[in-house]
Amino acid sequence: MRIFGQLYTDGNSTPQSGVTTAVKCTQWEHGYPTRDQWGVTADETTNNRLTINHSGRYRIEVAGEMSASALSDPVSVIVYKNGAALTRATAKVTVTANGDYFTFAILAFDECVHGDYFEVYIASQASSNLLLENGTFSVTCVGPREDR
Amino acid sequence: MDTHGNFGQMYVAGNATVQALTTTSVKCDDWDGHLSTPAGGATADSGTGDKITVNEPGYYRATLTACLLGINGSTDTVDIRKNGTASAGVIDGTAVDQVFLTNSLTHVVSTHAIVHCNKGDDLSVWLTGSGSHNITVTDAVFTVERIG
Repeated sequence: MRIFGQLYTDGNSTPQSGVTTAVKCTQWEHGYPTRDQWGVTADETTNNRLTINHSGRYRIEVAGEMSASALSDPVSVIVYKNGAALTRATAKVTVTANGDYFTFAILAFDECVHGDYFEVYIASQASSNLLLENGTFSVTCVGPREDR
Repeated sequence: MDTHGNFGQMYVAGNATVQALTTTSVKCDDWDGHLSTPAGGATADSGTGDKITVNEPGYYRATLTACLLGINGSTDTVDIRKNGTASAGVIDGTAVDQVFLTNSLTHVVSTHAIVHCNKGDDLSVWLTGSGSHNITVTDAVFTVERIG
């Protein structure tokens, strides 16, 4: 069995307000599967993160639809690992009008050890309310660590 | 037999045939080819069914990347559905809206989800318009991969 976990939100209507510098996305509404038996702890309530419980090489994916309340060039979506930006896992979109919807997608691979965790951060060039209306954030183990 | 990694995939490349949209969802029928591992995996039908049918129960990752050519002023929605109908089956978190501000500009959307399927369940891509107008799915790849 592969190891995996997912956070997602569906029809969310509560934005994060006044976003400028990168803040953690707290708009995930659900964790899936809800058990830890698949080796990843999906925490959508307290820490809004996916925590790796088994070392390995992981595929990290984020995709969704977001809207912004102000013009911004750009709005950024960034995957963070253990509290630091995973810069190769960043998406940037120019928002040209208040209320613009935009879609984004990020795919990255990374070596992980037990206890590593991933989060999604969002940032805006202008102070903006950012709404993640629909989106998914998943990690899937694709193999053993390279150093094994 | 280890069936993890078995997959079904449908794709379209360079399509110029429009699909008529209304506010009632329709299944994307623009697929012009497929790959699959039907023995224990998934059966992709890009001909008449426009869906990928799962042949073993388990967890699957469904991923869509699509290039859309829309009509100025429209907001169209793309989502992935399990056993989808015009009014049901949307996999939570997969719906992405795309706003078209200008004619003749292609937009890219991407969405994915991890979902549990029983034998015989099918996954497909659906389109919904903000009104009655056409859309062209010029290029797309839809993949369903067993992960657990």
